[in-house]
Amino acid sequence: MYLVKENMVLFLCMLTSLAVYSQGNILDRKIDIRFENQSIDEALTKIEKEVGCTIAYRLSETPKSRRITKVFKKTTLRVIIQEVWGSDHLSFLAIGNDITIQVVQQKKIKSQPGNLQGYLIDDRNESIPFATVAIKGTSKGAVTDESGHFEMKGIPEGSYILTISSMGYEPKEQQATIRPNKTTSLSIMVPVAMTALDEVVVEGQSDEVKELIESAQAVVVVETREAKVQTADLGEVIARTQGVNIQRTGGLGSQAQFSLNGLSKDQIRFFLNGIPLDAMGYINGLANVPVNLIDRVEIYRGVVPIRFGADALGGAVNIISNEGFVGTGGSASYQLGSFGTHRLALNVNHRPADKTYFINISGFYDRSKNNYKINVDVPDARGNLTNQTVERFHDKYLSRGMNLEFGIRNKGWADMLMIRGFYTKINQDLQHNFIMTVPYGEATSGATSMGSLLKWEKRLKNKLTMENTMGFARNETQIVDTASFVYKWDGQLARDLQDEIIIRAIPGERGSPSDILFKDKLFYNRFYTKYAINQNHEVRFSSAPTYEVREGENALLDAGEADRLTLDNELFSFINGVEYEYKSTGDRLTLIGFVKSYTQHLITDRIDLGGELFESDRKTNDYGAGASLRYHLNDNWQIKTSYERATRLPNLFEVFGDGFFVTENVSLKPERSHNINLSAKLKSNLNNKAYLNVELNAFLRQVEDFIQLLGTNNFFVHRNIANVSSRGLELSSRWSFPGKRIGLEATGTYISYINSAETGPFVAFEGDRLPNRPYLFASTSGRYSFKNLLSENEDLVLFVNMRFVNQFFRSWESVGRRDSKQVIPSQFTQNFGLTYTTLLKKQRLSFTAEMQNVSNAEVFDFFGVQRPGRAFYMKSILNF
Amino acid sequence: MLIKQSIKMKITHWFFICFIALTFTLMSCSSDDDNPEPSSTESVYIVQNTVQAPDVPRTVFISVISNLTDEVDLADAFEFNGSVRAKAFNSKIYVHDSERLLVIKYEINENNKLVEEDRFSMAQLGASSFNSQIAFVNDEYALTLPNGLRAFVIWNPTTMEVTSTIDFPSSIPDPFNTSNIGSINVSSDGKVFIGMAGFDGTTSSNIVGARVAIVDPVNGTVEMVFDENIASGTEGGFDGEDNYYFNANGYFGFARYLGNPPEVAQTITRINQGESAFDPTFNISSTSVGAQGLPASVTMKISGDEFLYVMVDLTEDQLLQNPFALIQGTQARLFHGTVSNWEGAVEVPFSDETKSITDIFVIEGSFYGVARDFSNSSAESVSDIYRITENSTLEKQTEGVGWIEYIAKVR
Repeated sequence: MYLVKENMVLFLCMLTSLAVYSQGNILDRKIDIRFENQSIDEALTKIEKEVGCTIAYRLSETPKSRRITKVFKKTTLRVIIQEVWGSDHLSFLAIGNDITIQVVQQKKIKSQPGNLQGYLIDDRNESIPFATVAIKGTSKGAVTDESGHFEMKGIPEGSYILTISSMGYEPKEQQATIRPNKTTSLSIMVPVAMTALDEVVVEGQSDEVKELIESAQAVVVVETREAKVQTADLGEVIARTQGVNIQRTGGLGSQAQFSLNGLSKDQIRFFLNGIPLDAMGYINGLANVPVNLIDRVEIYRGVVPIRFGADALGGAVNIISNEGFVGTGGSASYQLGSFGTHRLALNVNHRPADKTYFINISGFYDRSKNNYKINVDVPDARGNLTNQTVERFHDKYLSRGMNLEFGIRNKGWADMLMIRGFYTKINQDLQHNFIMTVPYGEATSGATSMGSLLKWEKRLKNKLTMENTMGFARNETQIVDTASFVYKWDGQLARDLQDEIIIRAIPGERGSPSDILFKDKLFYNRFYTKYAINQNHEVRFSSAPTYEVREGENALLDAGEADRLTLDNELFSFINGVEYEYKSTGDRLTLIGFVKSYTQHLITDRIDLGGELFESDRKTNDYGAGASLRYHLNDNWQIKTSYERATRLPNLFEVFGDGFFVTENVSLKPERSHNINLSAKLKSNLNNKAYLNVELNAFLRQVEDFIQLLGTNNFFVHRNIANVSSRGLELSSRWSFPGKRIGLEATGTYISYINSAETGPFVAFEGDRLPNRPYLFASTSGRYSFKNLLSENEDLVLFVNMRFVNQFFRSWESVGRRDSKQVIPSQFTQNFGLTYTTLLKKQRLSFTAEMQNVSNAEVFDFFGVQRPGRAFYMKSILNF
Repeated sequence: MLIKQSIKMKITHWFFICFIALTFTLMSCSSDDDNPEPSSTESVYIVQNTVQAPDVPRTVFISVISNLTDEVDLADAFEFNGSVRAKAFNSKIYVHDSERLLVIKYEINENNKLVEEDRFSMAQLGASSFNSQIAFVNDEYALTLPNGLRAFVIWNPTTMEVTSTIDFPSSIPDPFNTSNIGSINVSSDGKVFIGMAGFDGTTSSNIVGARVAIVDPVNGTVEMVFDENIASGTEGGFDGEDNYYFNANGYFGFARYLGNPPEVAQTITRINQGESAFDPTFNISSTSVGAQGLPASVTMKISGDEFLYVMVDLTEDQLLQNPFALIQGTQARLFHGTVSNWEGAVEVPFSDETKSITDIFVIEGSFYGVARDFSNSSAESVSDIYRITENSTLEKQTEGVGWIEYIAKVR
């Protein structure tokens, strides 16, 4: 605990550094007021007194005889004034607390008609579907389509006031001028209603997100709306979530270790649209998925819904890509910046509302030199060391990929049938050994993924919903390390004591030459169905068989030499689940209960000591169960609790080893865990002064039979060795202010991840915190928006993101002198940036400039491996 | 036109100062205690322990104690990453770090604290790792074999820098990538005897032969390579006559497991002082020291005329199933005898059925053994240090958490 002390001040400073004040648009303020037989002039004067504002208007324009008697509750000033005046033909100008009212004069309608088309977008850059657009004083109107577009034809020439209304948005009026035989195009930004913002944990609009957040599931939804215009990658975006930590080995494309509530690696499963991530072309992990191709990330904390068909000990992460878009549109983004970074993403949808087919094409191209500066000890020819700052010279990353979807919908036999194909290729240099002490100049790795899937959905009479996804993926990973030279940290070839260039006696920078290719094939099917018995009861069923086979080859072997990598390793898993959900009338209570069954069959080929090939296999059956509950105490408070007896089946490597240095352990048991979450969420509008959303979550993970690789110097075996207890608190707070000029978010996580082993090699450290894992971390972010900067459709947003991770030990905390402990030091990073957004006729264009790690701090996630320092990025996005 | 303007302009501000504070109970930890008692006149020993943790396979702790019966308290030990090995020489501690490719020299000060004096690297030579022991010849010469070089590296323990490299001669063929070095011993005349194994470099899965090389670091030459096809020995040593004994069956029957080449001998053999070939009259099967079944050597130490030898008895099935049977629960046996009478060696009784003495050391002419629990796949967490008495019995000294891998007297 003493580690905490020295960083508490820093931590608190960070959390309080966003203390700000704000003043919103006064017309949007909601007040309570009563009028009793008052004239317009008297009523407006009363408003001035109540609100503390001034209201200017032409006295001659007021209806002289009008008197008003009415009570308004939590009504915006704009609506109150319109009611008082008895007309909505008013235009308003609000500057600070000064309001000017002008009566809009309707011009005489001329005879020549014109057309009007437009595009509605909210102030979070999302299109607004199904909104009503009406021309005041006429019977003309339209409803926007799913892409937010509308069109009206045959409108007589003249100037009009458009009124726009949609649930979840503030009422909006917009002037429009129609010219004869012309089509007038408009892009209109409509503010999101504050009440709508209050409904979600992370600002989300889709029904799916709302439903998910309001469900009993222990889920956090990370929307990528803001992240899409900023330059942080997905790993950094997700790391701002409570309970989540991501450790990186370098810059773009580097390895990332995701942990959730203290559990990590195989204990967490990753999906894209419900399908395992590595079966969808993203073989370089979650952190490197292009953020511009996804809509949101769902993080399931410890309790995983049956529909994923997965054995997950500590939770699951499901990425949702851009789906469901209707119309023709898309987005293109380009980012460039420090360290030779270029990132390009393109997403085009064609889904005509009046047609049954749809097409989606998306692709990405990421490239970086990752040539950021690091501090290393540089040896001379005799080994004498000097500490120097050097630029990484062999860390290039190149990744490109493409997805193509084609489908049909609204057929009698299918609501949707879609086929998707994908291809991804990655090339990556390897710059150094595990702890950044030995430079490499030639070693590389690469990966290729391709595959396809077929997805079918059908709903019957709104009662029974069925969907099935079947697919295939082929992933290849390669490591090539055949260097003949020795490289120095400056990228030059090393020379010996006689000043001759050193030629390696044994090629390969990592100890021995390698040119190894692994080929994985994966076949899967996911069937999921749900049946709504009535509005209160629903049952669901999922079935998920998966078959994987791995083989490899060593290209450096001579013809005829036995290649152990060619031996087959096969895994078949079959995971089924049944789930029941109860929703009380009025939606005050939601309850979910589920059971899962796991079946696994591992098959592997091995060579015995006599050189004979033989086959080993193992079959495993297991069960799990869980339950979740959500209860609304009142309009402001909600509680959730959930539990799962979670299971992770050991993988093929853990059971059978590698046939050489890692020996088999066929008696290896699955990892099991009791996962419990208890959360309370507060939603409050703080008397209309601000909107506050606070969630506190306490969690427990009681892991048994923790699987760990153990052994001596050369020989290892996986064993169930320990019990581990992970308990913690997560806190997330979000503020939004009237007018949404300011938004603040803060999250904090503390994990007590304690070794509770009573036998085995860790018993001497019982009660110690598990080493090499962050246990205290926090993030804050804030934004300030300048609405209607130069014109009505221009916004400027200033934003800041900060992250703090407390230092942690590489080994057990109870042993080792404090002055000799190996420590991964605390990190405190700050990113600042600004985003300018403008609406074109039918497009939205954004530019972002962002500086990351502003203080140029030396940042380490793993022992000795330095991450990038200060960096500057620019990004432009066109939504069309 | 009449414009009505209110005179009241009330400025409203919202000040929001936002705090989130996670409340923690800060538990104070005891500050470091440097044990200020001067102890420069006392004996000083070091004990190297290795412990495991989830995701961190090895972490090494070096404890400084005044007597081998003292408690080995890891809370007061010096922490290193798991790829280091320590060796004491001339009252200094040399820690070689395979992960960082460094050799670091420490002094033990009057507070029994390790104080770094100097360090140097071998990364610039193209080494990939560094598993072998160090052979100290004198104040100016030390030798080691980093992996990946096919060269002996000569360095100066005083100035702490590389002074030369000696390439492997052609009599040490390519497959000898030095990744599995066995014994490394220095004769009284400063020659370094090195047991070497050859492996298929691409997979590290096929042994292709074994050699013993004799290197003269002072003159920078490889004097001799014994190329009889024997397996690499994990240990060797010199008797009082400077004859070299070589435990030629290392890695728990490794050569037998691999079976390639099948004719690799499993012997304890000898190179007599000044000779250029193995002593044909001294080629002792491991069974000669009383073991049954299929013995597999673990390690051996020679001191004067005495030897201490560790082996395991295996069945054919055990060998076929797993060459590393020792870590699967087979107890090792300890033999104590004289080099002039191997057959007369006696088995040292050890009553603990779950532990075995598998590492042995010579300190000031006496044998010490470290017992580890192998009943549970090498995964237990306490080691015991024993002294082997002249009567071939065990006398417990102390114990420590983790695996005790090295003990030595520094001064």
